Amino acid sequence: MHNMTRFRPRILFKLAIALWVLSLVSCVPFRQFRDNKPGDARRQDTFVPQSSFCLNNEHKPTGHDYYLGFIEFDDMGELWDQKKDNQLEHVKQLIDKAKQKSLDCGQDGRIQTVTFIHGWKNNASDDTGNVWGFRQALEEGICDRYYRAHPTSSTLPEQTSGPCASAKKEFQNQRPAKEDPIPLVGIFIGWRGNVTNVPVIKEFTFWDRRDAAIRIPGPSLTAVLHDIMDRTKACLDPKDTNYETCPGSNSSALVVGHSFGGMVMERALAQAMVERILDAEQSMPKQAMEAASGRPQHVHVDPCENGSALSDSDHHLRPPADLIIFVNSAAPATESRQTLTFLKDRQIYFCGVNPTALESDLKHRYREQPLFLSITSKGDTATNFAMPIGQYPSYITKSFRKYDPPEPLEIPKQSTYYMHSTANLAPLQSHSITGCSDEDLKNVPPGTHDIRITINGKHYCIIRKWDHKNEKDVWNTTPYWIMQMPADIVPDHGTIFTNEFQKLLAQLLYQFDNHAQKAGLKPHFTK
Amino acid sequence: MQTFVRLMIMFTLAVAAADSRAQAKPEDQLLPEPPPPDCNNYIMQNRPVFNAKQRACHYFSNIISPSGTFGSLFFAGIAQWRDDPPEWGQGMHGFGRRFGTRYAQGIAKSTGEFVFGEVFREDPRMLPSTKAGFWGRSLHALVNPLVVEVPKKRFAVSRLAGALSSGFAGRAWYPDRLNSIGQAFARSGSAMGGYVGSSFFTEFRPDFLNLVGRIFGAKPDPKTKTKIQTEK
Repeated sequence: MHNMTRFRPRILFKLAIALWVLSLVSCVPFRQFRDNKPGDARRQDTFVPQSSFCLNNEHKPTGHDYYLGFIEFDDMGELWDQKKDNQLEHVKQLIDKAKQKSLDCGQDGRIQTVTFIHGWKNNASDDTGNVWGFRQALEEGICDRYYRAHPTSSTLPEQTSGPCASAKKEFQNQRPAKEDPIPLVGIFIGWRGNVTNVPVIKEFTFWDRRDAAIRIPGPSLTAVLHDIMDRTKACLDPKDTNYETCPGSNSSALVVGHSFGGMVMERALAQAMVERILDAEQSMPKQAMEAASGRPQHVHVDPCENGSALSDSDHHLRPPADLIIFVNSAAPATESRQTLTFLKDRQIYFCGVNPTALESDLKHRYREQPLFLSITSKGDTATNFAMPIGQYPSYITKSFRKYDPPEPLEIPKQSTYYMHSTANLAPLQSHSITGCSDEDLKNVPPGTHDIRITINGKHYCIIRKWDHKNEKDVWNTTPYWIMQMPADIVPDHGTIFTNEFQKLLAQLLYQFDNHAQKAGLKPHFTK
Repeated sequence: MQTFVRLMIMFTLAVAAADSRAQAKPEDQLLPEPPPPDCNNYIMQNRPVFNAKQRACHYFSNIISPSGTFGSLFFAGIAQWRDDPPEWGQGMHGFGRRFGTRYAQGIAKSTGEFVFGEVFREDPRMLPSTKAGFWGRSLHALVNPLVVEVPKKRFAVSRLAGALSSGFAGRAWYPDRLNSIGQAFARSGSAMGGYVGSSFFTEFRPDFLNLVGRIFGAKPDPKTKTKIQTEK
């Protein structure tokens, strides 16, 4: 015992020194990771495809066929790079470059941009996994479109190996799609999601990084996101003001946020989107407004059926983004509740171009699409199980009320929204992903609202819950789709860039694109 | 003095040149895509075959990991509750020895596996089966710890070495009563059991997590549920 008392302080002192040294060497630098340091490819802020050929019958994907740009934010939500010629400018140039390539390849300047905001324990450097996962997801998007247009007819090993190996298998012996892949531009938004590399200790940075994720969405981020979306949908020639027909204007913009990145995105975009929707509402035809005002809230009439092509004067009805996806979002549902009730009360819907409808089928050329899509893995124990524990310390310091009457009925307490993420609240879910048979995939009835996808040979249907239940039971019929996905696609909270999820994302990018072959049709808001 | 002035001029010119390169437009300096880093979490999850550096990263991430730390704390807690072994007593001192033992055994297991894995070039990951049925998957999970699939399917020498290292490492500090060769083999057996448990978790992880999601997922308030049913 005497030995112990003499020994312990020395041990503790050594342990403290060791921990201090460990924390110093394992601290993640607080700096801009993409500063175009000469000769260092890991610090470039833009990348273009390695081959300059158009992807068509003659040229297959090489494995590096996407455009990629980085924009970084500091811990207070300001742009790291505040020079005149900064990361944002480079990304805008990258978007123009991709549009020019699309024009040169005979694709009318049409591109698709995918903006990704990472979550906790990640940043914009190559050392964390999300940058490489995002690169692979972009390439999967290219592969998906290429092999849709050029399906393989052989199962020989050489036909199903190399770049795009799994996409080759997926589209074997299928009817080819009409369009070759359009340029895909990835934009990686970085912030300080990772402060230390010390194992175990970094698990306790949850609260600190959650606070950072609350600080970051400010005017700078909102402006950057809108700049990206507007540039994507602008005419390639800035002098051209013919928005509906000019080259480049038919491009689509998708935004994806993961974990705390979902919260960052939701906070940065929700208010701005509401403003855009209110603008759109003013431009809506009188007929639609009257029909909506006379319609009881629980009756869901397909608002996109028999939709007509948009004219130049309708451009206010077009949304800035075609889809905003939150994956395993760690935002409390209090963030989404206001957007949901806004969309529900005003009966706002979003019509997209239906890729499965035949050109002669005028009735179904548009279909209801999500503007927001919150999707969480059933295996995401972090938001399902740990988040209520993580939220508890801040829960006890706040006041919550009870709703009277509650909307939806199943959630009468405001605190329930605060303690859970949106997709983990079953009464808010609008869709479900279920396994489908081969027959389900072959026989798609016209006008179906189900989205059918195949991931590594397994078929899934994304179905509207209210098509399969009494309509009154499903509260959320808004363009804010909420659903859970099986753990086979994303096993847990952090491992998002699995091959299965890359394929899901690639197919969503295809499903929610504007699809040039249906000229004159544009996604738009309606009532 | 002259040398100093020359050095200063050269330094100024070098700084100016570096600065002008740094300010060059992106088109002027586009480099090919960088090679993927060796050990970030995406590469570690998706790389089909590990190289020596990735095996080392896997080893280091194993020896200081939340699962290793919290697992050792959990099992030390159970041992404390069962007073196993009684020679180590109770209180923080006893708990410290129990925790240290489990943690050290875990390090010995990972080290043995890593060293032999480097010698025999064995991939340390256990891959889930491609079968669909419960029994087929269970059989795969049972056999998996004894087999490495990458670079080719063969007996997993590294895991056997890991289990033996874990069992025999304890001889340095276990009380004499538990320090026989037989006891060391018994501890090795339980380390092998750890591999089997981990293999089952890898195999059934999606199903297990789906189940956890269903159990802990937010459910409607029971009072409100009754109210809704009455309204209908």
